[in-house]
Parts: sequence; structure tokens; C-alpha cells
Amino acid sequence: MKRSMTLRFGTLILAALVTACAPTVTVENKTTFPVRAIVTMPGGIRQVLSPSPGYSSSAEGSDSTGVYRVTVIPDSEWIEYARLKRKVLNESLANSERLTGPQLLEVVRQLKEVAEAMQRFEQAAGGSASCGGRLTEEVTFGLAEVVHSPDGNLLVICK
Amino acid sequence: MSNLISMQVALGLAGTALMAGALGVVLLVAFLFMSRGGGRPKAAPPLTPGLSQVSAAEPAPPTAPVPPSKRSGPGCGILLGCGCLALIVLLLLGAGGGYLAYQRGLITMNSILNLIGLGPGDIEVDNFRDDSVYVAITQLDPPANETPLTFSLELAPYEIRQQRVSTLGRYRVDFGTASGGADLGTCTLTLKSGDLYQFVPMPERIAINRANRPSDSGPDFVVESSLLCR
Repeated sequence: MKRSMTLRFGTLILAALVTACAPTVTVENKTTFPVRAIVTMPGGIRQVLSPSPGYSSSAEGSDSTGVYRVTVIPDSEWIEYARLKRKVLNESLANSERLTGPQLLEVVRQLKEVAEAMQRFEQAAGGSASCGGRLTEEVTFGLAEVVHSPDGNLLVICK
Repeated sequence: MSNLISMQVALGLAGTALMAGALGVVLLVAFLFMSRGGGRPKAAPPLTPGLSQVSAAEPAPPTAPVPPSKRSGPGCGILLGCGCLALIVLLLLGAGGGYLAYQRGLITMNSILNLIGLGPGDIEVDNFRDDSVYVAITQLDPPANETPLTFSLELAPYEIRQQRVSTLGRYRVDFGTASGGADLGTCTLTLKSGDLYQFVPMPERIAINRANRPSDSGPDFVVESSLLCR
């Protein structure tokens, strides 16, 4: 009984520690228009955030530590891509029970291509549109600020 | 805690490298010893062609001429020694490469755990709707007397988020247009090590794909009809 209580208490503390140490990267949009941020967390998990002008949005990772990367891209470009992808997927899955082998392979390819698209957008973004940092056991929080550069382009600064 | 695990893995890899090296050295020494004849019984001295070791009283039996021994290439021991050395180098390179790859993040703790079936699973949601989507992930088979794990995600239009789940098992994934809702659909899935479930909520339906092991049946790609959601 006593051992069970100790185990439960230990599990609770462990869970609290893991939750408390979950790395987080926050993207703050300091521009006056919507932006799209691709956040690559330690461990390679990519997430696409959309902090509204003047607001911030956060990506939470698993309990791994390492390097994170934030890339900011124009909102309209991402939405255009996503809507096109949605159209293709919707058409493909409208009659999902009648899909042939090659059509199924194409559906799988289209779904997997979303991850590739994020990577493509990251690579296409200019140097000033990307920044990165390192999350450790001590530093579990990263902050990236999106601002206008003097030449009108998007600039992201990791702090 | 992950730092401690990382250190253990790094030490493990370094230890493997050292053990591989030590094993290789032992093997090399053994083979060199054998190649010098240390492990063999001494052979009789070679006979001169045409002569035999018989007593003078006995008549000499007819003897066939023994051809002179030819040593056209390196000895067996040297070949084995070289092979051993190559093995040592390969083992050291493999262990060292693994250590470096781990240090640089090319091999992660999760990829190592996935190899032995203890890694986490992932649930990715690509919101391709024009409105926000709320996702609630609830553990269905928690251990007795324990609270089920729950995760919640809120996705603005065209956002993509991913939840890593370390405790494997059965989960219910609810998709709603409001927090706590499930009006868009529900999927009850079995999350195994290394699984990546990709959900794509769209205005007409929610697409689903188990990216690491895609299904070969069309209906499995739609939450409403997918056997992955049973």
C-alpha cells in the first residue's frame, strides 16, 4: 500500500517535471499583417503556426532538447498551397471505396507531400526569414519575433 | 531527465566502440599466434626428395618424390589477420559514426527506442479548413486507478500541429469546431511505437493516413469509413 502510494507520487512528480520541461517555441508577430511561421522543433517535428498581427503563437515539442528553427513565409503563399492540396485530396477521396492501386498510391503521395512542402517553403525562404536557437534542460523556451525589415521583407529574430 | 538518457546512450555507444576494439585486438592476437604455429602440433621435419627415414637394415620402400612446397601468396594467418584488422576498423568506424550521429542529432533517442518497439507515436493534424479545429486526444486504456492522458490542440485555419505521445495504446481523437466538441468526427486508434497518424480535416471530410504504414484500402483514408478508426 505504502509502496503503491510512493510509486503514484513519484509518477506524478515525474509527469509534472516532464510537462514543465516540455520545450516551447513562441513566435510573436510584430507586423501589421498575418504571417505564417514554420517551426521545426528538436527531433524534427515541423509545425505551421499563424500568429495574428500583434499576437503570438506557440509550438510545443516533445521532451527532447536540441536545435529549433523558425522560418517565416507570406501567409497568402501557404494558404494558396493548402487550398490547392485540399482540392486535390477532396477530389481523390470523394469516391474512396473505388480507388484503384495507382490512385491509392497517389493519395498517399499527396498526403506525404505536405511534409515535403513545409521543407520546401523553409528552403525557399531567404536567410533573414529564418532563425534558430538551441533548447536545453535549462533553456526550454525559445522566442522568435517577426518584424518588417527596412526593405519591406519579413525578418525573424530568435532571442 | 532526457539529458541523463542521452548521456547513457552516448556512454553506451562509446562503450560499444571500446568493446569492439578490445574484441578485435583479442581476435587479432589469437590469429597472429595461430599463424606463427603456436597453436599447432609440431610437424615432422620435411623429407628430402628421394630419401626416407628408415633403418639401414630394412629395404627401402619405393618412395614417390615429394614436390617442393610452393608459397605463392601470403599465408593463411596473414590473411586472417588482415581480415581481423579490417573488421576492427569497420566496428570502430561504425561505433564512432553512431556516436557522432547521435551527438549531432541525426540519430535521436526516439529513433533508437523505435528500433526496439519502445519509441513514441505521433499524431499530426493538418487543418485544411477555413475555420478553427479543436482536437482532443484521450487515452482509453490507462493503467488501473490512473487518470487517462489527455492532449488538446487548437488549430487556426491552415495550421499544422503535431502531438508526440510516449504512452502507447488506444486513444480517441475528437475533432470539433468548438472546444470539447466532436461534431467533425471521431477516430479511435491504436498507437504503436513509431506510428505517425496524419489527419487532414477538410470541409467535406477528414482524411487519415498512417504515414509509416499506409493502408492499401481506399475507405481507410477517410475517418468516417476507416478501419484504422475502429
